[in-house]
Amino acid sequence: MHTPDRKPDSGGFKDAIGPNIDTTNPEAAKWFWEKIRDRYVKPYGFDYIWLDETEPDIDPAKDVFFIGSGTRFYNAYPLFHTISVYEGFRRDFGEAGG
Amino acid sequence: MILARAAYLGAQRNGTVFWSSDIVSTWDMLKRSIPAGLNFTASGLPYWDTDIAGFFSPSLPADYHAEHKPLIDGSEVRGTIGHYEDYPELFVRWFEWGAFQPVMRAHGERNHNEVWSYGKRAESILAKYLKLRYQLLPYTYSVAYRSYQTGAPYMRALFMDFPDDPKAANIPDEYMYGPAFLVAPVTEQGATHRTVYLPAGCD
Repeated sequence: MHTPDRKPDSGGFKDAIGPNIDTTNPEAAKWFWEKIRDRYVKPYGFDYIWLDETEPDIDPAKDVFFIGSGTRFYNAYPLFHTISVYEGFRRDFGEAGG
Repeated sequence: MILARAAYLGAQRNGTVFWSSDIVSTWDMLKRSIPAGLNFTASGLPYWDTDIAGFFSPSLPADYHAEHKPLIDGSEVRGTIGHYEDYPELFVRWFEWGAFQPVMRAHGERNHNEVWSYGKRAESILAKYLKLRYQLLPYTYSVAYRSYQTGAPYMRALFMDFPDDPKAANIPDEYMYGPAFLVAPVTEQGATHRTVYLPAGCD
């Protein structure tokens, strides 16, 4: 995620970890799922994914989401984050799982 | 399925199980986790669980002793529990409750989650509840399918099944696990019994 002037917001974390991913952006959601699919699901057949932190670990209040302001969509982050993986799974593996 | 920490209304559509995050391994946390779960599932997200026996090990004073003599003797597993002498009892009580959570998971920053890691006495009880969980899988599967069909949770506060009993509306430490089980976990250290409120209309 980035600030209104399009600067990536890494919060208090080191650059190696980087900003929150903005899964309200369909392109980012697709990228996120495809990384998980290609690195974990396809090679190993996992069908139960531990996403762990589905909250924005960096406070998004001063950032902008693809769909609107960080304050307006502040709490909706977990909804979009889980949609990215759920819908990707369904799209690529259907009902049967990986 | 997806195991996830933070939730938002609607996220139940996404094959999600939410857990109550990185909680501390204490009796107080065990007690407070029950109403936390009932409030969570009442908001329309049916799949919820806890890290059985908590995630963070508390830092205890060097002269720590349990309030009551531990019901499960931990002397043979001191290397695992340190001086948290009532930890095997807490692990057992939390595990017993876990058998009646929508998903049953033992996890934490400690090194051990195995049924044989907290002494012989603990092992026999943990094994019993683990077997019970497996025995109940067809039941759990069926009530979960009902949640899939209706959206109503299968771990739920008493007010949902007993709306005509005003006393049932505010009970934080009992709940229904599907239509067949009223669950009343023991959350007091050293306790061998507890009172259970039976809602009006369940006889």
